[in-house]
Amino acid sequence: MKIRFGTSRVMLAAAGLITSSLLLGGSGCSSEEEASADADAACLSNRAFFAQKVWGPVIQTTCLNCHSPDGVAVEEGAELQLLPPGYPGFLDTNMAALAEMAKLESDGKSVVLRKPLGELSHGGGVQLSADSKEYKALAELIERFRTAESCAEEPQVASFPGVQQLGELGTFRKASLQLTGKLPSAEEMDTLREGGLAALPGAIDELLETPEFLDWLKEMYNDVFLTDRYLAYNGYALNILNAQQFPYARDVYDNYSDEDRARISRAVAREPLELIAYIVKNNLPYSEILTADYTMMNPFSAQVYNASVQFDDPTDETEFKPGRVQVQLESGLTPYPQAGLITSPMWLNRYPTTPTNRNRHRARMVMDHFLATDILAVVDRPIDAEETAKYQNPTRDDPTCNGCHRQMDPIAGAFQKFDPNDQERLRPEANWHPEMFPPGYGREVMQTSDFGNAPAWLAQRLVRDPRFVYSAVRTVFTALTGFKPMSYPTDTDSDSFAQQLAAWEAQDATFRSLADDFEESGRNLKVLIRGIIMSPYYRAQAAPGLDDSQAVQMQELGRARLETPESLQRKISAVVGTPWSRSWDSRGWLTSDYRILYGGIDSDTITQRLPAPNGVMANIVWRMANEVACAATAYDFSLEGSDRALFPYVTMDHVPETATGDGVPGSVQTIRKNIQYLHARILGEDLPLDHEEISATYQLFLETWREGTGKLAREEESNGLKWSCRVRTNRETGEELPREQRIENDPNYTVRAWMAVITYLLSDYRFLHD
Amino acid sequence: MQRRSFLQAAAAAGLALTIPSVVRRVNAAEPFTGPFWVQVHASGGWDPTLMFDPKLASEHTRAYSEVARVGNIPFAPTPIDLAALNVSQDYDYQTRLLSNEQFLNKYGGRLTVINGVDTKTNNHDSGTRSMWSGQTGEGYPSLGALIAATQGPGLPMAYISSGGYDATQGLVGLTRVSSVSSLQRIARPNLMDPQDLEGDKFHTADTWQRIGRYQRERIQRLQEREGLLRPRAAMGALEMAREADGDLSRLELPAELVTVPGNDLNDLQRMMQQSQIALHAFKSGIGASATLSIGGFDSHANNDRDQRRQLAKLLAGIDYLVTYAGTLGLQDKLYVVVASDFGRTPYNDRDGKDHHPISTMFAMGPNIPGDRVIGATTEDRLAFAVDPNGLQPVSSGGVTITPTLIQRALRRAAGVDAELDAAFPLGGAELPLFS
Repeated sequence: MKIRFGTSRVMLAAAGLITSSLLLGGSGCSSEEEASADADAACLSNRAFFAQKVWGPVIQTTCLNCHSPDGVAVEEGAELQLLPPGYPGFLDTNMAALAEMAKLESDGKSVVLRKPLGELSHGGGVQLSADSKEYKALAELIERFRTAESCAEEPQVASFPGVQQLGELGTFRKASLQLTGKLPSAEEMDTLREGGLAALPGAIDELLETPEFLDWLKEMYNDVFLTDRYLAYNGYALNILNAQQFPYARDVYDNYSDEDRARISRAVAREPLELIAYIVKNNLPYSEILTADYTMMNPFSAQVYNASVQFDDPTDETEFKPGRVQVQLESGLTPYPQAGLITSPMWLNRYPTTPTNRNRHRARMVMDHFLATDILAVVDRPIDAEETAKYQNPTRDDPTCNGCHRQMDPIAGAFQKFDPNDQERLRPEANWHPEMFPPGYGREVMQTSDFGNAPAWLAQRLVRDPRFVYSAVRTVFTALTGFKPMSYPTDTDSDSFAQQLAAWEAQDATFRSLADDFEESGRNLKVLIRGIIMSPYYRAQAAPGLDDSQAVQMQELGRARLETPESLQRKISAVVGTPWSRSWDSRGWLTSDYRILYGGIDSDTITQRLPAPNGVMANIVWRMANEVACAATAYDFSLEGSDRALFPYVTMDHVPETATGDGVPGSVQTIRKNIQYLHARILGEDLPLDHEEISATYQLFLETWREGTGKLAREEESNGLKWSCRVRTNRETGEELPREQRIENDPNYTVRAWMAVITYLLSDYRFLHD
Repeated sequence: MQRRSFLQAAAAAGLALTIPSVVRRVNAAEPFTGPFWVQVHASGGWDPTLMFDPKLASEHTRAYSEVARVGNIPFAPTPIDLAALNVSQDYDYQTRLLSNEQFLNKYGGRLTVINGVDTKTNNHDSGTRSMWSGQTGEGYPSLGALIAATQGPGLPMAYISSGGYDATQGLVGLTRVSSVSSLQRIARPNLMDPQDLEGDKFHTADTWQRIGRYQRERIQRLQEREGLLRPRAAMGALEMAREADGDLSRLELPAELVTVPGNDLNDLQRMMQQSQIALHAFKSGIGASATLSIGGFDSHANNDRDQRRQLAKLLAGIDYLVTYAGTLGLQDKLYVVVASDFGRTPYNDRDGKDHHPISTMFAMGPNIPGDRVIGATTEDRLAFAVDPNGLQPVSSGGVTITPTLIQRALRRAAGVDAELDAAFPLGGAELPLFS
């Protein structure tokens, strides 16, 4: 199966060209020019023409209010139905709807051109005058539909002339830290230096083969599905499974040791995320997250599902394999419905229903998770309390309610065989509610013969919906860049509408190009991830000299993703070589005590990450930077030069000045060289030795060193390092070091001056963001 | 790009308000002394007929047969009955929960109740957004964010949230607190042992100040070199977060947070603990507003049991908040605003009630008139409009009270900065709802 993204293969001009034309001094679209078929428009594809000239200025402004799914015109049976911008792919769908409608003619003229003039009994009366620029734009669109597309172009990833992008080394460093929590190896860097940008896709592909990447993948998908809620206490995942249908789960929960219960419960809780990891790792079609007729289980959890699976190593907790779930019914072991995530007992519990909710919450989450559609946002209009009270069955009969329920309730019907009080419990005898919309998808009604396999029936339709691919693009884009995709600009009166539209079009074109590549790869998620990493939305790092207009057009670019508690924890270990962790159990501070305070989630009540720091988070950073600087600085000096993460070029004896205050040229250069190295290692900045940032950091080192040596001379400070900053043991083995290898004193005050530098760099914007 | 140009460009992209220079700065060295605002959200859609908009028609109530009053405020006389509320009788819950009557006897003289609020939605998300931002759609900050941004965007815990609608639109950093001990450990980041004020420091005082100064200068340089809006806004957010990071050391917290025995009142316990943290932040001069939330109000089945239980918790939680504020000497500086997503319909066939756009809200605070009810509903629970001057219900003409008008009035009462108010305009009549 192969689905093209969008309903039309007619694509707009490359967004890069649009963007660059605007960058070069405006669109050439003065109002006079817009009134006619201007020169620019002649070069636009039909889609670009529709997006720029027709959708916002004409359709959205004039037609959408009545012709939206819950609009008056649609309620009264109008054939033209338009989707608001909240729907993924709304532009393509609406253009296709208009093109289809335009074929209908009356007296030799398209009805699309007659109705807005108030002709043909248009319910909305006169909406446009024939001599308005809006009407002329609409007329040109209809004319374009009649003739062969002359400017059609494939969508392309946007290009932004003037924006400096990370090169192959910088991009790979960023991706490596984000996806694997590691800095690139020397070998990887050498390969990239040799191969240049052309070698980058291959290097990224290597990252995507690592186990660390799969850990990141599970972490990022948990941000969406939040099933790690069931890791909250030992046995949670087992405790929620129905004791009759999953009897082994109850036995484990009640009778097994803490250790065994934890191991088995962990496997059950993470089963949905393991499914995604399995699909991606094995380059299977991403659609299998919904169509998989299997569940992931390891040697410890298989028995929970009454499954028979052969494992290579029955003691390996990390060995997850697909298996078929069976549940214990009165009639005996019975196959459980299997449709990927939406039949996962964890997903069903995480998005529960009630006897009165009737799976509507699940339907909403299906649309949100897999169709990128927030039904509450896109079908929402004022409720008239008096009107609503007139209907006995408002969800089906009240037009203010059924616009939403008509879409939601049929999807809810796919979950009819699950117990409304015991979420994952299978109830084969359950039936659907006749007063609700029947189970189905869109306009297709599910046959009663499919009710027993309803989730799989739904899954097949979900993955054929173009929004499914769009949803994948949005999810991965958000995870990699830290920002949700831009919404279509709806304020056509805004002074910056043209620039905002250009920004949206550039991103939209990029998404469609990525989606096409994703499709062509057989929906291999790695291809999508690599594509986004290669795009300017991931790699843009600076754009000096932008004017206001250009800045708005490029509003979606730039390195501004605040590191999560988890990613910052990994980053600290990677660049410093020393984790920031609790002494008593080695758990990272940021993934334990400070996970919520630093803006993270608990997958239960706190489900949205904070996108920006607050005063508390600023203090966490300071404590982290101080504690890590204390723990790592002297320790790094205790290592052999080649093993050092922070100070490969200097020793504790490299001082910047002599006792008389004269500079020590060789030493100063060596210190600056190490600072240059630290900027690269910790901040990812590739700076020349004479850069002002290197000079600023050197000045910090110098002033701190001068302060310290002065205090040493005046005996206001001692030679001894503070106890917790000393090196007395081998951190690998925990054994005490011989006295000569210990670092307990700092007679030159260089260790403490370097500590100041490390604190400074670890609390820097570029360390905290990427 | 020049700073002014950047602001113009960022405003166009919806990013301008994320940088500190756009919001009014306060002297970070000065503790903020109030007033303090707490917005309490009853999540799921409460039933006003079981509160301060009682109805006697059988389709609306089965829990009481007469309307009672404390002063001018009518209420549903539903005493605390642990068995009827389906909570354990093994603990002292009878004294921990609060009935309408108990609540009004204690606070009725300070309360303005608004009935007949037309939320114009029965959508949870839209209703919640609307009640706390004045706008059904996305893109507007919550009242708490506007207040925090007005009073102290540089305060380290300017806006504290434990749920509900807490959108900030980048006006101010949002703080979530889960643990007292974790907070205490970071309050003085240059102390090796945060409990030992005279103990060892990581850096000398001079060095510590120097690092901070070099960081401020560095981020200024980065901002000047950066042309792209998003990184500049993020740099601004970090700069703003650091403006008063040292002030966190002023935070004094109780050694342990309050607990409630058993499990049936866990949500009340959480609300009480979050109240403690917020009030201590206020007391320490490092916070300006907070958002609290308690759920369990979406009663499509067993409405009377679930609503009465959750309302009893809600009122008890508010009582705890106000009482605890009194123990910290904040009783005359605390404003409390309470609302829900929307109201409920008549009973359905499952003893539940479904979503209904007409709701209720109430508020109290130093300058809010007490013992007052504004607005009303018909016996069918439809909203009466009110006279825009005297606020009396009128049968024709008048103004329908909506969340937009309530938020307009709350912004006035809270003294929200005029520029911020203008940046997120709310239309409609200006009603003296809280004055």
